[in-house]
Amino acid sequence: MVMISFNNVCKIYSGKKVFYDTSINIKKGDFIFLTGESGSGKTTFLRLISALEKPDKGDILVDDLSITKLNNNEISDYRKSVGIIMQDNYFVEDRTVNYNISLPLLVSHRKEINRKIRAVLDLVNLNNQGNKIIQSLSAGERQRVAIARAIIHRPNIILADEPTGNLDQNLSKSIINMLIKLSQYGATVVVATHEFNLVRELQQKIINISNEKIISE
Amino acid sequence: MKKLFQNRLSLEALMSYMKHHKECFQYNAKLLFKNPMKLFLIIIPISIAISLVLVSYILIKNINNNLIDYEHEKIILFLKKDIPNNYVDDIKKNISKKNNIISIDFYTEEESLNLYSKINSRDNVVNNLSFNPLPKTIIIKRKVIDYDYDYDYENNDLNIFLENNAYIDSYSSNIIFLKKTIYIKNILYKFLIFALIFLILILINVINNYIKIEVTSNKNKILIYRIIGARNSYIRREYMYFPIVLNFLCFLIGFILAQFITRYFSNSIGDFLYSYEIQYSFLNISFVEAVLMVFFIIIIGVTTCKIVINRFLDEDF
Ligand SMILES: Nc1ncnc2c1ncn2[C@@H]1O[C@H](COP(=O)(O)OP(=O)(O)O)[C@@H](O)[C@H]1O
Ligand SMILES: [Mg+2]
Repeated sequence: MVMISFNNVCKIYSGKKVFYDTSINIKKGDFIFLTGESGSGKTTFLRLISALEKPDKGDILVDDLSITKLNNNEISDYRKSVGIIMQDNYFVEDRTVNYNISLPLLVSHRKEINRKIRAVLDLVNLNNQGNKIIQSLSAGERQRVAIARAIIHRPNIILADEPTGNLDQNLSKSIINMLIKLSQYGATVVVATHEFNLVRELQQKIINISNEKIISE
Repeated sequence: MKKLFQNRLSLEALMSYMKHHKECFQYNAKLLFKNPMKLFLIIIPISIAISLVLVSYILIKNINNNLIDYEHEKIILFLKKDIPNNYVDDIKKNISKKNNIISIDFYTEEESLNLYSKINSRDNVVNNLSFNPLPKTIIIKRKVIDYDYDYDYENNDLNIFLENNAYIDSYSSNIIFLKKTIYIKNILYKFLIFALIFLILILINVINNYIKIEVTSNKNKILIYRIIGARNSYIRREYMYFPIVLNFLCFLIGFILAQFITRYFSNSIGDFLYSYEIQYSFLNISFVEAVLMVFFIIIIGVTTCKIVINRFLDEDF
């Protein structure tokens, strides 16, 4: 079953064609490495799926819903089913890890917040760190809090932009393995990365972007 | 809200919704007192503007309330003792043909005395009189039109008639007094409108600036909310309580301020009226009027807030 589909998408930034007439399908439950050189358009690809950018031409369907035609509130509701890990992650710096992680649940008024926080902290190896203030965390810990925040509400789609940028090799691998496991539970996961070692080692599907085109492997 | 009830109708969800409102309220209340300079710069001008509106409104209300019996010009004719009865009717008929006459009432000597004692509440003096000093009287009520301020109330057909009638001993009118009160009321109405515009401009300006600063300094936080799928209304809520808390506080200060100013002016108005032998009683704004006023400024505040935030959210995210 197709989860994300680009139909003849064009995205042009002041003359620079990042995508031109691009079409691609991503199946439900897929784990995908999005690779490509710096500046090739990985972030743009993820921002298009997050509806943070609109394509100049073409259509993007997510779960048969055309996300290019949504209004503001509909986009917000759509994003409630997407977990987004950005290249630069922002937090409410003067609040605790628990508070920051619970935000997606608070926004959609979900239940059993404390139990879910404990479970997700366990998953990203941050047990008993929940009451720390974000400012006091190391770069790697912040990255893991960002991942926890993106998956706590069990999104159907997880989009991660260089999620292992600030982590050491072992932790990177365990985080990616965790995302792979989430995809086995049914989430569609797209991870943009330029760490080719990791990509080669983990043997997953790859989408490579180069010269306005998408080359699937 | 609609979605909340459609999808997740549970007590816990409702509690979470209410809790967010509570947190936003507390956050905004704290924010106001965190920075005394901000407090001074924001609260003082709004409070002053509110008190100006209140002062002019209360004074207008008091003048109107104390002068309920003085909407019309009252002309009192004292007739000569030897006037024949058919002449009285003749005078009444003549007067009723003039412009703007509302009523003409004839009083005999006794009725005049009764009326005098009733109006001035001087029963004991009147009862102890050995003779009646008052003549036969006619009281005419004539319409005074506010915008007719320049109308010559001393030199018109009615006055000329009264002047030249041989059976009219003397007559007096309260028109000068009425002209003075109309003049004061007009000034107060203009002042009220000016104060209202001043208040609205200050409110819009202060809240606009404040929200812009708040939102820009919280850009990252808003970006997070955007990414986790918060609607505009959810993001807005954090800033919406500011104008509510602020305006409520400013109203309280403005009200207290207005009380002092009003008492001062009210005393001079009281003195002025007293010189025309009018008893003056002070009337404050009612609870309903206060609530309406608070409602009015909160609506302006909240609307400004909403427009500014929406524009910001649409432009930058
Ligand atoms: N907001 C923007 N305005 C102008 N150009 C942009 C914008 N965002 C991205 N680009 C350009 O689009 C290209 C792809 O960028 P990006 O998607 O960030 O690449 P990657 O994430 O693969 O490094 C780059 O050349 C970048 O300069
Ligand atoms: Mg990038």
